[in-house]
Amino acid sequence: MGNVVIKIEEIAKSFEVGSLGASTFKQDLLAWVDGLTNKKNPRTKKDLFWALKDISFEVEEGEVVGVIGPNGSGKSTLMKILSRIILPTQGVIRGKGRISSLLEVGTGFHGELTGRENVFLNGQILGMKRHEISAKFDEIVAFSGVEAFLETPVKRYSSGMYVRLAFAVAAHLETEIMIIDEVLAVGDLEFQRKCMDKMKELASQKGKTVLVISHDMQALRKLCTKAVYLEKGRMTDIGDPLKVMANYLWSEKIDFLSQQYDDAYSAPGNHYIRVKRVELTPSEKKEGLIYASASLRFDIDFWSLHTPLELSVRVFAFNFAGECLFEVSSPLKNITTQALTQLSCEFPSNFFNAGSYYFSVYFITKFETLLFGFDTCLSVDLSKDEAISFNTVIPKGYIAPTVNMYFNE
Amino acid sequence: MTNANKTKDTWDWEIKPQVSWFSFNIAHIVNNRELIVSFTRRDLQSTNNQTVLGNIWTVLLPLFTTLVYLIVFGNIIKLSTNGSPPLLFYLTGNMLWTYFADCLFGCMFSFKTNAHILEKVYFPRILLPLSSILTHSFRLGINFIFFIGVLIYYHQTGESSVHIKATLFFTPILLVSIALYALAWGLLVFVITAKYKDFENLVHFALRLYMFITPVFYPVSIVSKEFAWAFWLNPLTAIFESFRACYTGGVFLTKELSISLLFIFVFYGISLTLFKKAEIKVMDVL
Repeated sequence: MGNVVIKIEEIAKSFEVGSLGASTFKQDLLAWVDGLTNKKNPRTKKDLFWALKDISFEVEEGEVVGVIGPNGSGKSTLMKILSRIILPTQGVIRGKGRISSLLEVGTGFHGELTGRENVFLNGQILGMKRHEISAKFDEIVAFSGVEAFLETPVKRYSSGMYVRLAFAVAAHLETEIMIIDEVLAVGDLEFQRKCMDKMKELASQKGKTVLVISHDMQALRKLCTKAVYLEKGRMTDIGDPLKVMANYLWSEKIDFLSQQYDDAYSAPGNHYIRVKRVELTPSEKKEGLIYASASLRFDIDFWSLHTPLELSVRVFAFNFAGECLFEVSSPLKNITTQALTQLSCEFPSNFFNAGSYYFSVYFITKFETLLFGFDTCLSVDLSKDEAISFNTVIPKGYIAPTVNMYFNE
Repeated sequence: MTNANKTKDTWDWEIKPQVSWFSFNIAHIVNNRELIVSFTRRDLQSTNNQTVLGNIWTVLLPLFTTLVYLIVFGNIIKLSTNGSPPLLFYLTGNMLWTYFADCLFGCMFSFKTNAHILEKVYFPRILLPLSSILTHSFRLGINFIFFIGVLIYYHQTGESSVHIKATLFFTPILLVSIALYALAWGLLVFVITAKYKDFENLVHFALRLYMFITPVFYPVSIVSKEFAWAFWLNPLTAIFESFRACYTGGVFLTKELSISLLFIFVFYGISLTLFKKAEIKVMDVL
């Protein structure tokens, strides 16, 4: 049991709905008079919207907690309460250590000021002292890669340069607890990778506790040691990030076609198996949609770390109700060297019915012992192909096999 | 920070639905003085960028107003200036009033103009109005240098009412009280207008009215005896009159000034307490 650094107890937050207008003063006055006279039926009743309700959990020192949930589930509200930007309506949060929040990159950047001045201003707004920034200034500038433009007002920066400088400042914050909202992925692909590495570096520092909101499941899987799933202001699930994210992906039916890891240490797995890549590739996509008529190729690349090993790979397909539709097994393979093994399988076109499905990959020995189970690693949302179907109703069931059917005459 | 020596129930901070009364902590301001300066530098720099005259505007604008006063009140209406040179009289009145009004509006709107920051980061909210006061104090400083220049000119040309007096040393106290008074009003008005935006329009009007009952372009001595008491209810009256007495003609009003300063201090305390209570709550409606 680690050291609890944040303890959130029954936090709730309500907002008044729609009533912020000309009549507010009158309403408040009437409500106040009613309050004084202890009236039973107040003349004005405010409509309250509960953005958060009954949120309780603890964060231990060194944990990286991912907060996930659909838009409007209260993630940002929770983060704002934690950063003291807004007050909760009920409940209490207690904590230890300096806390800083990055709810946006470049908070307080001012277009008229030069890059150098903005680094200092932004750093100070985020809670750093001037001498701390001076000490790290070269590092920040080197990270951002805008050395040449330090004396230029940032309003003349390209948007890429702007966010890079902004992220660079944020990445060099040194506080025990950090609250981060969707700032992970900024800039071009290369810079995003740099950001991710920096985030990982931050998260892995001893004693550093991070709470992060993101919609990027891939990034969260890499970073988090714990996940919190919010839905309509309530906490639906908390715990192991893979399980919680799987739960979220089911409920939200989100396409999740690929997971890739660069090295065997950060990749999911154990001392037998590390998964480098799992990917679903549809044979075609139309306007971002994958139709049931497309065939799906399933690729699995993994490292075997404990050789020799004789194993079989099994792919399980589930519907979003959590029922297993089928499992398919690869033939047994004897792996003798610690190399990358690649495996592919293909689900034919018009095999799945339109709907959402997710997949798990299990690595199993000859004797049916489980080496590693990669649960809910991918999911796909298949649309009904209207071009080839004459009725508009989606057929029942989970598979839509092409069966040769004819009338005997 | 190591938490090893802490027991499980000692917490560094706590977030609760209510902010307790008298939660004011001077250490927050001292710790964040660098941020106040940075905000001020930002405001000064961003207004001066891409202007040819830069800080000269800070002197020019009040000077234009002073000249208008000089023509309208001095030459056309011919109001008394208590024996001081009219230019000096209007210059002091205008300088002090501009400082008061700018500080008040600065404090009030510092939250609105920085709303995008307030929505994303926490720092003691009081830093914003304080930095706004610092910004306007800097501008006042520029005006003050100009004012001293005019003063020296009058001294050299042998103007009898201009001479060096011991009360000169009260100048900082007078200026600080104006700032404090403006801050108190700014915070109070902000707390009210944040939710009830209607009052914002009233504030502009009220401030203009307020200028007429403050001795900006006339001395209190011309106010009829029946209404004079009402003028002393305004703490700015004693400050303006005494400030002029430090440099040109007039009487330094020790008694009235002490009462005014005491009033400002109490008023500031009340306003600050209300503000601290509401500072985060208003984020819901800002």
